[in-house]
Amino acid sequence: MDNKKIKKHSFSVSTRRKVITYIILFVGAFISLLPFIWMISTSLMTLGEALGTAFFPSSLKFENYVIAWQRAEFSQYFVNSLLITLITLSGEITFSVFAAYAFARMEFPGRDLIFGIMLSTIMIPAMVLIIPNFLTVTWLGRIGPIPWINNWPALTIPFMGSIFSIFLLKQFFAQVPNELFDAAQIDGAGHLRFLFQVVLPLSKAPLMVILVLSFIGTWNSLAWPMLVTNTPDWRPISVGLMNFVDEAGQLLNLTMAGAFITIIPILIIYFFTQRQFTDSIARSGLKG
Amino acid sequence: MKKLSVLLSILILFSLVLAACAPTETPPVEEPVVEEPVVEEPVVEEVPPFEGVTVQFWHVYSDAPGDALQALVDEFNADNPYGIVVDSLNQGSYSDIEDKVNAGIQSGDLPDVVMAYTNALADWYSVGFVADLNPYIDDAEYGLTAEQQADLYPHLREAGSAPDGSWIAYPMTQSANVLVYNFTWAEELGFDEPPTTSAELKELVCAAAADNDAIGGDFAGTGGIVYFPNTTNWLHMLYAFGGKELNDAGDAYDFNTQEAIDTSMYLLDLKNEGCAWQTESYPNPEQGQRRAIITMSSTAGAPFYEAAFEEADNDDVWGWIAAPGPDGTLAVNAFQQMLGVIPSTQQREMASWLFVKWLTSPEIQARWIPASGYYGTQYSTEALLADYALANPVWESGVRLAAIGPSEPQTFPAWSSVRRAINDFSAELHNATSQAEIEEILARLTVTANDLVAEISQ
Repeated sequence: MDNKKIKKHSFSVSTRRKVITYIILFVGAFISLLPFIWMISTSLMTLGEALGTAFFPSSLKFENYVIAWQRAEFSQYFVNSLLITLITLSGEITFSVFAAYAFARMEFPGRDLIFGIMLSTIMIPAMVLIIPNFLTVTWLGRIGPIPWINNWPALTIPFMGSIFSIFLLKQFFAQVPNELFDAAQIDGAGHLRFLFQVVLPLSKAPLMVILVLSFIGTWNSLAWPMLVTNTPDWRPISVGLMNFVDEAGQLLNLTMAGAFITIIPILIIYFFTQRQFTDSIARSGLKG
Repeated sequence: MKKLSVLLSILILFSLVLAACAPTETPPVEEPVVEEPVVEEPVVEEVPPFEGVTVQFWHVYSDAPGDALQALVDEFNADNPYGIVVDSLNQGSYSDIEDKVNAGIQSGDLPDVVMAYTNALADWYSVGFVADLNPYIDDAEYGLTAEQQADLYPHLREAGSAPDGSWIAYPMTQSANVLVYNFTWAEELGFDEPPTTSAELKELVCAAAADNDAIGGDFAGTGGIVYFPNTTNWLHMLYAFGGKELNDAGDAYDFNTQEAIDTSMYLLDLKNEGCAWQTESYPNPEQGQRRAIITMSSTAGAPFYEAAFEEADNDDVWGWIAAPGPDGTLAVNAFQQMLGVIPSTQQREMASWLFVKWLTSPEIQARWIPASGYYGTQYSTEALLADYALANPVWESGVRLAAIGPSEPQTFPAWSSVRRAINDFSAELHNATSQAEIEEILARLTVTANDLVAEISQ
């Protein structure tokens, strides 16, 4: 009887804990989802409803999506954004992998000093670097074989050297046991082969984090693309959203419809990489 | 992991291929030669031909107005007798343009004609990156005739001129901070005509407030004028009370004036008597729902008010009126969509001016306005828009207002900073409890404003 009581008591405590946990999680999830729900709801409203206090539309205006797509000229900007993101990501991952490997596994004079200096640049706010970076790309465009302004190099190359990505990968690469390198050396492998055949397969998690975070960052960038482009030829999708904002106000319903369109690729990427991403976030210690 | 390696290899290969195949024939941006700041007034002598001169024009218009502007530019390129080619480029918002020009000043990548706020043009002029248009406007062959200059609304020359007399910002169109007025509701309250004095205005908004108080519930405490204490609104009322920002000599800020005291006391009185109130956000929905008989807004906000009245299923007639002062002075706070010419060669500057002149001519302005919803800058434009005015009564209600102005002294030193200071002080003024406190706040505002000038001059 006593055992039963204890069991019943412990069960109820554990159930209560679970209920509290789920309530907290539910509230957290609801708070996180609320802006998203508001965005979708507003995207289906008339302008009058969107400007007022209504949370849900009286009737669903799906045509807002068609209007937003056409008026923001998304078809062109969408392709531009895809190209910019692909070039940036491929460059960023390539350079980050090699740089991180060098810092993690190779000995050379000043290694820690160089890495420390590079790491300290994370502290500099991005906006402060805009003008110096602009001057640099302008200069490079003048001396180089292809123009940088109004072209893909200015939009992609400055972001291929990501200190955050190098730092994250370095931490992972440094954890690969030396014994593996020794064994690979005995088998005749050099640094490059060791990197591609041993280190990278073990570093799927941080690579996935970099892939998703960089994709989101590049896809959503606005200030820099506006600065280094004068024509729509290479402008990204975020610029299209600005078509709904003028000095008098914002066409909120179309802005939200456009915003939903722009995040679809991010949702798709996240949908397909969700498991690896959450797993890698947990392993990389980025959470919380 | 093999998959990841393959993916990586594909990405690298893709970037290399794309790098090799990327279109290198991106239209070359013609870089204007930015010369040293023009110190002396340039003498416009015999101007060389403009054949082949490309003028780059940065503006803020996208969507339908952007298309309409591009159509006009295409027409200019096809028909102008000078052989000038204009490359018209939307650069985002005014803020984006400011960022780009500031960066361009460092790198040399600047346009020839730029649309910007007057204070931004004034800042660039002070460092030699905006040209004085006087020599081009007065040019015997390519300038404006005396008749054309007289056609321009009187306040616009002053609004676009630097304190040294240089004309640095040429108005393309106008908008204005106005009172949004519900004619139908006012008539129901016994006010057949819009108020012509500040006393009548008070009578009207207090009547509307009492009307809503009588309804009670959510309507209690609403009905009067929605007044947000900010720079634009406070200056708008100050102009109606005959005040201004500068002293009589025009060489320093001075808010320590009777007009500024009277304006602030009047607004405080409206608030204390429950005839002025504030909404949480833009007051369009409240006006559509008859919770405010008057709000203050830019004329560019017309589509948002239309949507609000439509949403509330409200058929009331509404439109723009000017703020009336104690003596019947009517005023709005007029803003211009200004064009500036970036210094380059005399030939390019003249070519730029010829484009600006064409774009702002009454005939072209009359075609641009229906697409943009702005107001003209010349009396003769009004006549050309008679049909448009008939079809758009709200727009028509603002035509005469755009002509009266005045405008903020955006070319006066430190105006951007002073404007921010007024914003803070107007909130203090709105919370004052006595005239003595208002006088003290205005005295402090005057000191702060002139300190900002001194700071920028150092």
